[in-house]
Amino acid sequence: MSKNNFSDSSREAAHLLSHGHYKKAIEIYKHLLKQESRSAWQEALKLAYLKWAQALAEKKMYQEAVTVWESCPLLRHESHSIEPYLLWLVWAGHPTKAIQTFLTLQLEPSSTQQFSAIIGILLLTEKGLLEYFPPDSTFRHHYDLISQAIFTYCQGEDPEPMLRQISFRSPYRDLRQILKAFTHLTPMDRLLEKIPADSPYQPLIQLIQWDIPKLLNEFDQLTKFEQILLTCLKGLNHSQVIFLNMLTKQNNVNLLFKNIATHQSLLNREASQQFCLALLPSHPHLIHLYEKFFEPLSKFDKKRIQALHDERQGQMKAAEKKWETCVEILKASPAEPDHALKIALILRHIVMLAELRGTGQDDEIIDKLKESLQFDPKDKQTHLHIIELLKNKGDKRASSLWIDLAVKQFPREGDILEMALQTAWVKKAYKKAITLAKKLLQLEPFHPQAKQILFSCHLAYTRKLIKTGKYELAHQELDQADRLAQVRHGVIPILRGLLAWQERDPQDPVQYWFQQSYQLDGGTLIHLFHLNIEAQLLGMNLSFLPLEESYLPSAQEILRWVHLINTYYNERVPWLAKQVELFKTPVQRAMTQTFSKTEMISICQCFRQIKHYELLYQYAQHALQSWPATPILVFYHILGKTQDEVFNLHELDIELLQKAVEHAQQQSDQRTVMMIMRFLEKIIQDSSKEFFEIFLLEEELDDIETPKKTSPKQGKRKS
Amino acid sequence: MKTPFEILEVSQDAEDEDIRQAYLKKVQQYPPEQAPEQFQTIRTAFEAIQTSLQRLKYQLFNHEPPSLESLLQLTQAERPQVESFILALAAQFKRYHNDSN
Repeated sequence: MSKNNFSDSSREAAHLLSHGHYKKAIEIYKHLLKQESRSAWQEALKLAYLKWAQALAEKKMYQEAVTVWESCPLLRHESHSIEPYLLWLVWAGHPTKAIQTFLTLQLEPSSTQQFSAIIGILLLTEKGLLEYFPPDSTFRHHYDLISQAIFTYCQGEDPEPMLRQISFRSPYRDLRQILKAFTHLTPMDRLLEKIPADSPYQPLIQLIQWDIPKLLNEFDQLTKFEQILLTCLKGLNHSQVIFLNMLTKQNNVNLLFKNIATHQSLLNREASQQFCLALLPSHPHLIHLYEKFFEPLSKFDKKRIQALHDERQGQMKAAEKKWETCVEILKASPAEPDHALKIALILRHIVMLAELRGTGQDDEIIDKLKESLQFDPKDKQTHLHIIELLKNKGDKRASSLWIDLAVKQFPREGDILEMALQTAWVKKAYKKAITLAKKLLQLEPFHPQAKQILFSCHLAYTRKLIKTGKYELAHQELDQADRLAQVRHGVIPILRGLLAWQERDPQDPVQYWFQQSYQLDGGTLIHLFHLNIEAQLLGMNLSFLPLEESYLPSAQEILRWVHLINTYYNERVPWLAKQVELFKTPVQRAMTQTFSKTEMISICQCFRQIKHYELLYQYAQHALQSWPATPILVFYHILGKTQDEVFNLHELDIELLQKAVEHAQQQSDQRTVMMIMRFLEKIIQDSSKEFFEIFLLEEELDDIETPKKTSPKQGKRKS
Repeated sequence: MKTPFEILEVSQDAEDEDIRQAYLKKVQQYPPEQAPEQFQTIRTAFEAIQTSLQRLKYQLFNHEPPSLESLLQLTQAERPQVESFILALAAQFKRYHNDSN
């Protein structure tokens, strides 16, 4: 053959190969190679055989693919072609030959992962294949590990020690993952999703992932063999699942109950009994069946079941009666297990039902809760509940007694101590409050309220001691207060000064203390105000030098002063407005200082709190110049103007308030909305309903009726 | 609806420590940052029965009807037989082969 012919033939063979005419291409290449042994033609020949075999395999003609592959001995040396060949051998039904080839070629599982995974399954599921592997081979080692792990798992033990030895490259890596998922150390789905989609274990994974509801409801859709397998995997036997599957289709609860009770030996006896018992509150008419198939129920349990049934039916009053009967039965049966605790729990349950109904009498509820504590004294929630109810009733004496009881019962409960502390503070029982605050701070060293109240109590007690002439003790109280104060207040040196004044102690100069307090107060306005207040609180008839006419407090001083007023307000000093009145002029002058909106609002809030309407009005009006239509400032302005009396309202004021409510709602400022609405509600309380409805409907002014009830200030409203 | 005992996979007569351990095991499976809904269910179940007092309350006042699922879970054996496991594996392997074809 000439060189030209070689070229043509070679081109033709390449063309045939590229178009899938492998047999013809092979013939040409073979013919060419007989003429000349060219490496390019040898490579092309190998490729032709391999592609031909692959094409056959794609058509599931595995035996043919094997035959074609074996026709080309050169392919044995092509590492990338070995694994497909081995797989075809397995699919063609020659696993033994595949294994022998694998061993002859001295391949490793890591280089033939897919084949190895499949052989791994076959080793577990087909007898006799394992013998072909030498004792020291990697496959044997992994096989031993996985079969031990499976056995250990099925014995109910943890296969983790064996699983840990199975590496990522093992033929059993996917099965390792499945067994790990079975032992539920990590959610099954998260482990199983790590297994590749082309793993031969995928069908098993899908079967495993059938949950109990799906098993019960779709059982019929499985083949018989799958039904058997799935039930075995789920740890059930076939009869059990057939039976349960039948039960899911049971609509009649009587039949359901009877079937389960009758076939309890098929299922778990205890489980069947628990199931049937749990069914009774919704179907109490089955009690007699329960007693027939299982065991008699006590009088208590029967009544309990009936009470629960009434609750399910929404018949709370009837349920309460039955629970009360339960209590009586238990009282007569001290041998009943947890007898006292059950009585207590039921009494509290009755209270809960009564409160749900909304018609329970407070006294009856309190009595029941008290009775429950006789049987279970250590229930904190019940103590708190009683206290809350007594407070709501307005029975301060009784609630106070119960708070003391709670403190004795729960000396280390922070919330109880806090409640007791608040009560003692409100009652002005300062010594008691100090003790409680100290106990609370032992439990919660950073409790802010406790620290504040403790400090205030020391001061209040100091004042009491000064007023009663117990000066030595007053000094000690002040020392204690001084140790507490994190921010140095002017109040302590003021009290020391006033104490020195009372004592007339020449060694203790009053001026020194007042100078100290002045420095701490940081302003003349504050300092004089402070001195006045404390002198008043001590009942001292002292007058201090008035403030200079031209004195202009800074914005900072006004804010500190407001803070001081708020502190005294929280300590329930009642005549703050009168004291503020003494300093009205410089405070009015200070209005023009630079304040932020938030600061102005807090100043107005303070004046509102202490009911100094004039300053409230003036400050709000001034603030509105900078922040017009701000809902809260509009409210404060009108509040100041009307001195918190709705009868002083003009129609325009009402309109402005209405707009303020709308703006506040748009700004999601629910607090302001509530404040304005509460203020306006006073109109309803004192006027006819029709008038208010007209207001709400935004009727014409002419249609608004004059309210029937009059008040001294009514005349100011326009008709 | 599952009972707290079913959610934590403990028996009705389980003690405080058993319940606590079961709860911790479940939280390990369903940590709050990865499975917030399941964690909440587990947490609620734990709080409902974590002490003997709460279990007593549950036993006295629970009136939710039981589910067949609970009956099944209480009935089932914990682990399958080895033979069943291998049979399932073989069957599923055959299915894999058939599906691949």
